[in-house]
Amino acid sequence: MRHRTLRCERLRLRLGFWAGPGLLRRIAPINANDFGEGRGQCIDRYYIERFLAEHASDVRGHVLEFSDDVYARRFGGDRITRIDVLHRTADNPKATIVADLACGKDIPSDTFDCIVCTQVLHCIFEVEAAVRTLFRVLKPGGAVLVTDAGIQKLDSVDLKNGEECWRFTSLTLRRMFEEVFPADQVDVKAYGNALAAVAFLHGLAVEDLKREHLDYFDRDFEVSLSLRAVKPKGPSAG
Amino acid sequence: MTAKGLLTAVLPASARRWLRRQPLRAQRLLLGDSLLYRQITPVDSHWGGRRGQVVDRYFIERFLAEHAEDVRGHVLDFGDDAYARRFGGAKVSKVDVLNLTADNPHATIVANLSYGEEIPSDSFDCILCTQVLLLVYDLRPAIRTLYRILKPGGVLLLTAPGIQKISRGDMEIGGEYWRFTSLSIRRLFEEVFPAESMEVKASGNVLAATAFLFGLAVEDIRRKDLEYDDPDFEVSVSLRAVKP
Repeated sequence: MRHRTLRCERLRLRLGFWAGPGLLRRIAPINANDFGEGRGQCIDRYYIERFLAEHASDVRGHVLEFSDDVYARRFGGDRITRIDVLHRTADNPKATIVADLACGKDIPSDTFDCIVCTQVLHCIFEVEAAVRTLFRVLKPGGAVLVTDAGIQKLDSVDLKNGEECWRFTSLTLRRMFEEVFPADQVDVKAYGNALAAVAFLHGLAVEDLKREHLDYFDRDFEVSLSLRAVKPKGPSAG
Repeated sequence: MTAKGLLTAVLPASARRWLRRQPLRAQRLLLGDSLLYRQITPVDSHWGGRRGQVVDRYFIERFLAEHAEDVRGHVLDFGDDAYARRFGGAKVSKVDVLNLTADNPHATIVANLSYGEEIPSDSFDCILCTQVLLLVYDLRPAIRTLYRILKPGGVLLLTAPGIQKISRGDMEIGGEYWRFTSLSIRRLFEEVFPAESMEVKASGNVLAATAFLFGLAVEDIRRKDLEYDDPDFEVSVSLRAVKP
C-alpha cells in the first residue's frame, strides 16, 4: 500500500503537477551565472546583513574588513574612525593591508575595535591559524563578526585559485573560536531551511521566495552561519 | 531612433526598471507551482532512505564498485562491515570495524581516529572510510592515523560530503564538523600521502544536491542525470590513496 502511494507520488513528480516545471529534471541550476545577485539579493546576504544589522553597534572605531569596505561603511556609519581593508594579493586597489590571514605576520597585534569577516574563512585552508590571527589583531574588548557558509555551491574562480576549501557547521565555528576566545564570549547562530538551501544552490534570489520561508529556521539545514566573539579586556587574554 | 531609444526617451526610469524585470517575473510565475515554493521541509526527513536509495550513497557505492578490486585481505570499515563484505566478497580475509563509542555491537575496535594509538601500525590492506572524516574535528591527526595503520601498498578508499544537511544523530553523539571540497581533500591528504598515489574526484550536480537536501531518493530522479558532474556542485568527494 505504501509502495503504491509512493509510486503515484513519483509519477506526479515526474509529470510536474507537484514539482513544477522540471525542477527534478534539470541538471543545470536555474541561474548558473552567479549566486543570485543578478536576480536580486543573494539568499546568504539576506542572513549576513540581518546579522550585521543586529550587531551594528559593534562596528565602530578602527574596523578591519576583507576585500572591500562596503559593510564597514554601511553598518558602522559615523561610529567608524578608520577602516583597513585586507586582501591576500596586491591586485586589489581597495586593500590597505596585503597579508595572508593564516600566517598574518604583516598585521599588527591589538589593533582593531571590530573585524567584519564575512564569507572569508571557507577560503582559507589553514583556517584555525586564521582564527588565531583574528584574535591576535583584535584590541582587548574588540569584537569580531564572522559569517560563513554551511551549504553553498562552489565558486569555480575561487576553486581555481585554490580558495574553496570548506563548508562549516555551527559546531565547527564554535569549536574553532572557543579554542582561542573564552567560551562565554562566543555566540554562534545558524540560518536557513531546505527551501532556502535549494533556492540558494539554484542561484535564486531573496525576491524569488516568500520572506517567511526565508525566516523559518530548520536546524538540520544550516545554510548560513554567524558568529560574534569578543576578545576579553585585561592581560590574562590568550 | 531605435525602439529602445524611444522607450528610454518616453518612459521614466522607474517604468523602465519595471519593464526590465518582466522576464524574471514570468519565470517566477512559471516556477510558482514548484517544489521550491511549496516545500520548506524535506519530503523525507530520513535523507530519502524511506523512498529508495539515498542520493549520496549512489555516488559512494559507485566509487566503491569502481575500486572493488582494492577491497581485499585485512579490511577496516567504520560503523559496520556492510561495504567491506559487499565490495570485498571472497577477497576479504578479515574485517575489523572501528567505532568511536563502545555501544556498537559490530565494533571490533573502539577508538578515536584522531588519537587512536591503540590501533596497531601497518595492519590493513584496505581501509573503507566513507562519510567519517566530517565527524572528526582534528583532521590532521586522523589522516596521519589512517596512513600509519595502512600496510605498505595498502589502499585507502575515502568519501566525504561537499553538500549535505546536518546528520542530527551524529551531531548529538560526537559532533559533525566539516563539508569538504575536492581541493581541501587533496591538500589535506597530500600532507601525508605521496601526491602521485592519490586520486581525488568530485561528483554531483544541482539536481543531485536538490534531491538529496529535500530527501528524495535516487529512484525519484533519472539515473542518467546523476552521472553528470557539475564542477560547481560537489555533492560527494572521493579519494583513493595508496601508502607506498
